Amino acid sequence: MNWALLLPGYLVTGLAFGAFTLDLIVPRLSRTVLVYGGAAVMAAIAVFIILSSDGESSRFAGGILIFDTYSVFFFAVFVILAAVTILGSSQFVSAIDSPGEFVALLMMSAVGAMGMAAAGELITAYISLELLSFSLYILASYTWKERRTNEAGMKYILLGAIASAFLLLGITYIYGLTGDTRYDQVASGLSALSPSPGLIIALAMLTAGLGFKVAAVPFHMWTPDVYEGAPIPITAYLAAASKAAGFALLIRLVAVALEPVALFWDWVFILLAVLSMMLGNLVAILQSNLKRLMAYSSIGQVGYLLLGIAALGADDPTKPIAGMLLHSVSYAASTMVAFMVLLAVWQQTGKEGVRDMAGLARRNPFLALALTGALFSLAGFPFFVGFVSKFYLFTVVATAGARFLVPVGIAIFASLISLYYYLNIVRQMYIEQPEDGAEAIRVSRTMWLLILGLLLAIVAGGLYVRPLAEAAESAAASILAGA
Amino acid sequence: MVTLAFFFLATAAMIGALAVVTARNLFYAALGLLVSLAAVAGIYVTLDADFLALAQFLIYVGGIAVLIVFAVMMTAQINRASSSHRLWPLGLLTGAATLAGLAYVMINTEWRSESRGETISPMVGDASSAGIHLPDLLFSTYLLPFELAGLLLLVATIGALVIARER
Amino acid sequence: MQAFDGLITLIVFLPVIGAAAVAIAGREQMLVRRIALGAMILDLLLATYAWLSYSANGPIVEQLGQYGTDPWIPGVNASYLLNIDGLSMPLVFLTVLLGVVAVLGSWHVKERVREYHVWLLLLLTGVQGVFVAGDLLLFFLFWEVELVPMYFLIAMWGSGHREYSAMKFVLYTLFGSAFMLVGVLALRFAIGSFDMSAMTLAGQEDTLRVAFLGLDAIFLMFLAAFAIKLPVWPLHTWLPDAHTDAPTAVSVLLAGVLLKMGGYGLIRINVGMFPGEMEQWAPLLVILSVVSVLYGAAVVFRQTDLKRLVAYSSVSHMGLVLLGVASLGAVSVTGAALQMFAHGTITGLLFLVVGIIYENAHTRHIPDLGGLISRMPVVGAVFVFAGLASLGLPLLSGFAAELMVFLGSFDAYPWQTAFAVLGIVLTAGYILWTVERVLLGPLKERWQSVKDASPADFVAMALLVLPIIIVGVYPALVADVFRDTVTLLVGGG
Repeated sequence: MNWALLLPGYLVTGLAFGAFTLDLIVPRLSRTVLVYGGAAVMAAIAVFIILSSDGESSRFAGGILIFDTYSVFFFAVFVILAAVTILGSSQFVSAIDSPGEFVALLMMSAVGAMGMAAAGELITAYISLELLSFSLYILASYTWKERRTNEAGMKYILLGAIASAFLLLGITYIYGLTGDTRYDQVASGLSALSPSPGLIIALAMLTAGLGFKVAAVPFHMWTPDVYEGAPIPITAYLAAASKAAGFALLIRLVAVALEPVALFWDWVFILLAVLSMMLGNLVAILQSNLKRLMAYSSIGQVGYLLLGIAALGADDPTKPIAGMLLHSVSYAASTMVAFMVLLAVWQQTGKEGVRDMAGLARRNPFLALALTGALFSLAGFPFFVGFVSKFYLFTVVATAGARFLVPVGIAIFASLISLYYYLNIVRQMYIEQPEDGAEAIRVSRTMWLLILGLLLAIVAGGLYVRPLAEAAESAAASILAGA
Repeated sequence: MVTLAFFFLATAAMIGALAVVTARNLFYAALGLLVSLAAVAGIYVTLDADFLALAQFLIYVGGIAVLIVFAVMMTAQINRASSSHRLWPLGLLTGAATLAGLAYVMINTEWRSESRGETISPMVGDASSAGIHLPDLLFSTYLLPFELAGLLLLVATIGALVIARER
Repeated sequence: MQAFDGLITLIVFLPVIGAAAVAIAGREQMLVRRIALGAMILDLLLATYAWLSYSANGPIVEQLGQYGTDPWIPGVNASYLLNIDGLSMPLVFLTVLLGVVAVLGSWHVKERVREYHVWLLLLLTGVQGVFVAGDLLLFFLFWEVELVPMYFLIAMWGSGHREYSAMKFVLYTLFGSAFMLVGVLALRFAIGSFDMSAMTLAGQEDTLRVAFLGLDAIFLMFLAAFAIKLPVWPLHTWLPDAHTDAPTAVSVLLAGVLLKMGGYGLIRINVGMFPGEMEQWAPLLVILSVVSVLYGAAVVFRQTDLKRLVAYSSVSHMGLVLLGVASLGAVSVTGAALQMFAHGTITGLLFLVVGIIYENAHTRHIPDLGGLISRMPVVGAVFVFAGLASLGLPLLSGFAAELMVFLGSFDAYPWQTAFAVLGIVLTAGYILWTVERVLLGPLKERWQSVKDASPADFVAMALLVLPIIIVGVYPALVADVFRDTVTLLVGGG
């Protein structure tokens, strides 16, 4: 066991404790320090994670937690996303009563997400998932006196608890059938079994529980309400990090533990994928609130990613895994840009409707450009990272087997639909006139730098994706090498 | 003795669960939930699944239930029973169908069992029979999951505080 | 590792550099125009140099990375591969030439000048990229990227129902490219990389196999995308709207080069990679092409908007391109390619002239015009010239191209060709009738003070008149270049 690999998790946890106590000791100066210091240290930790990654794999206690390139990849992703969210929350933090707890909870949630990526055992995975979810329940209800936040928070907690129950029940069945909860042991147990009602129930429960966490149709009901009700930085974090964490868990689970039944169960994932991408993108057209629109569009994105999960039964699952890693990172970055722009507009105007974007190109050209870039990237338009990642994902899924050609065709049409409503927002910004008396929108320097940095990242990724793709591929290979 | 304890705990769990859905006062419902969850943890103890019992206590009794109790106390305006009671026949039907389905599958599935000489992971099963003691496990094999569970509890507590304070 | 001297990359991306310079140039409108013009003139010089280099040394290839071992995007095995061969060279040159014309033709744009030029330059990069891509992923990428600037150019600086037309254009193209993407993935599935030359080789040797979907389906998917773009009747309905509502310079580019992307795709991919399927579907395509020719020409007679009239004449002329391609002879396909080049300059010129008339007279309604030649002699003369070129007057480029198409297709499809020739008669009719209604007759009172072309307009027109004459007098200059590549694609099967 290489204990150095545990360091990132402990560092983030320690930082969370620090944030929590700092607020108790020096409440006066803490807000600035919390946001900028917290984000800076998180960024430093991310740099540390990336620099210290040497391709080594280490298994803690016989595989309860696995620290391989795959885990390290996601560690970096989660820490960066948390840092971005903290920076983006600077104004929100100055308006709430418990800023230290807010920042600490964000960091804790990152620890939970890291556990989900590293977990090699069902109960550990479950505890990590609950750590993430609990932090999010609270973060999403932070302004609970606001009516719609209160409702959304309640809905999130209750439905989340039901989903957890499903997940636990699934774990119970898996344990009962295979006698173990460690992924590799589960796999060897499952390979000796033939399909039975018990196995089907186990898989169905796991799928439902995790389907809720990643917001796949038909387990998506909570998404629009919670996205709309939560504070915008948290919505961004929900869309980017929480979803990526769900997939981090799901990918390792299906690729390692459920590998013997992957071919038996892949049609379920194909079905969920097709439903998600069609329903998500079609319903998004009807939305007039941008947060709800982004919620449905995120459901559509989950559909594309689920195609990758379905393709894990192929002869060589490395490529689909790499495709999902690449696309979830690309999606996370693009969606972050979109939400940060939305946040900047909201902070000044308090409005978040599609129509409220009218004339944004005149009110703040930079924000309009950034949002256009983010939306084009989400739609999978060339020269943004979203195109490359989506294309990569579709290509590897299509080459995984002839039965995927039709779902991939549907996915392409779903992207086409998505372009329609993204273009509609772009049209509002550039072609519609701003309302009378609408003033220019100012952006704080922090937000400006943050948005610019992310925007450059999604363009750079679109032009030269190779470093990222290679990282994703070696991460994908490391899961399978360890199994 | 173990059988007796099981029936006692199972009854407590059932009564708690019934209280959750029937109590007019939300606070009592939450308390019922607490009782039910604690009783389930007790059942784990009688089954020698020590780690699971501990996790159940930490996460559910400690975490979720505390959070819910706080949430209930904070949302004073909805402490009356909700109007969804009119849907109870439907709920009953769904619940019964689910129970029947699960029970059918549970009875008809061939579970793995040590009595047939099949190995069971010590993670959930009887640790002490293998000569290992829970504290040893907690501070070696289960160290990280245990710490994660501890963090979870902390988050739930912080959350309760935040919800109480934030306005 | 192949040679990489950066020439093609520079030609393709010079407009992007220009766009970046424009973006930071500030609010001075004249400066913006001069930067854009400078970038395009430089690009034109580079393209001329590339042509000279092509005639001396043959096709130019540029590649970063290698398929298999060292790809641009690992995992999907795509590479940054650009090549200029005989089919690409004249089209790239045409694009850059029309780019210069478009910047000159936009001299009168007064609103949001900076944004306008940024989009215009980005559009030019996208179109050039399609013509030089040697990697199918890159081809698709450029194909898509052209849409966004086009959408904004029409929707923000257009006239009439500009938003509707812009959206219609985008939706039609996207619909086609969704089909194409499935085709692209299927070809990748079959070949193992996105190398277009490998695909062409497999297609020519009849070793291309696609599991599950079958070659016919893939062929039709590409065909759908290109037929929408070309456009072929009955998929042409986006064209009159988009052309009519676009600003002048954008109409010039739409007609001049964007339609050529469809023809280029047909020759490069449908003919090059699927010779067997092409042969099988050719009779149907020939019929569609004849319908396009006749339908386009017939509908022209009913138009009262000058720009819409030119737009429908494009449908008719692009029908001839399809006829040449579908006849599948070396002569007819070369003729089709030459027709693309000739139509690019001629129709570009027509749109430019119509734009100048509209700019000065503020109407395009034909019955309102008349006798303009006495007030705008230069514009009038160029209009007549372009009209004559369009109807195929000998010694102008349109004649050479149409003659090659007809000669090439007559052997294979004599009857159909005869019907298509009828279209030329119709063309002669509507062109002369239009010239008469717009330029001749008594000058109406309200046009007394109409001004003639501005210096910028004059240079722009001259830039298009010259190639029409040069290619008309000496068609081999362009036709031989096209033939180099076309014979490889058509003759190999």
